[in-house]
Amino acid sequence: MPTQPWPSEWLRGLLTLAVLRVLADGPTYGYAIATTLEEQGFGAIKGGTLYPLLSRLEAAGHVSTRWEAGDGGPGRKYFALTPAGADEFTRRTARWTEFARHTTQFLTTPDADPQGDRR
Amino acid sequence: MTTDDRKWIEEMILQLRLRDVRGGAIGDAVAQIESHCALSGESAAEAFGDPRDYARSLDFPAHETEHTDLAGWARVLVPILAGVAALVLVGATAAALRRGADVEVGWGSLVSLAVWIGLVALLVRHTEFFVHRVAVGALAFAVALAVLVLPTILLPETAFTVPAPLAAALTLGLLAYAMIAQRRERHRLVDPVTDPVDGRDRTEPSGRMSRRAQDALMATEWHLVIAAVVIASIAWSVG
Repeated sequence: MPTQPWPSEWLRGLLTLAVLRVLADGPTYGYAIATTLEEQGFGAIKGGTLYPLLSRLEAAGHVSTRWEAGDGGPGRKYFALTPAGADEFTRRTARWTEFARHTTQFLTTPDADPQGDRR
Repeated sequence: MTTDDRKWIEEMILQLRLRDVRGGAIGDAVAQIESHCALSGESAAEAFGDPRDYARSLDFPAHETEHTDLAGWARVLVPILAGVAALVLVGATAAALRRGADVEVGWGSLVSLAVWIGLVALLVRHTEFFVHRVAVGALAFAVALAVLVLPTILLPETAFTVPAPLAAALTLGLLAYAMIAQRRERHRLVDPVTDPVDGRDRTEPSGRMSRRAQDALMATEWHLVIAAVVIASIAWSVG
């Protein structure tokens, strides 16, 4: 299990990519996305955070939606990546990987001020 | 769903209505809240925070919101304005017909009408402000009534006169136009909150609210006629 809780400001920046990652495995509904993210160490994602994010992805055309009747309970809204959403996931993943590598290198290199012009 | 959850959802619906989100998209948001709360066991407030903040945070594709342009507002407001003008005219016209005199249109009435247009424009532009501040809204309503009545008292001078039969025809024309135009707009204005799964009206379990809303809108047209008849009758008997 990854170390947690992660600082909340890190999670805020990464949440959209994490949701796209969950949807890359196939269509699913909001509560299941929240549960998967919690299992993956992202902490408890409140509906008030998750659904506005999903609405932005839907408005941007990155996800499509469909409703399915629930078993004796309320229906469930399934979210699926569109081709544009899949491209966005690939692009963001590449960018994040590059950013993480760059950040890690910066944080762990002993002399981060190679020009030596520190005043 | 508890009573608190229902209240929470009503508050969210109101906020989404103020954002001009279409009924179908609001129904989608409502069903999503119910679904999430049923699965997580949380209350709407626990899971989603403040209903107004939540409603403001949702994003909608362009086709799921209504963009009322100037022509759209005109379609709604001009018939109402015509109805008010008819009510202003009807009393003076009935009294003038009884006396066999011309209708005197006072400066006060003209100023009142102009003030009325300004107040409606203010209300339309700042609907959200007044909806969320009931005390301010009630105070504003009282001030607005005074502002509407004052000009007729302070400015009793006659601006111009109109022959009574012409004023009567104009009054009837305005009344008929107001009724027909409001009736035409009614169907466009009713936009029920519908369930995304089965399409039923979600405003109330049996869909009564939508029919009640339609009845209320229908009644508005007839209120206008009833008010005109009452005012004309009083003016006739007094004048």
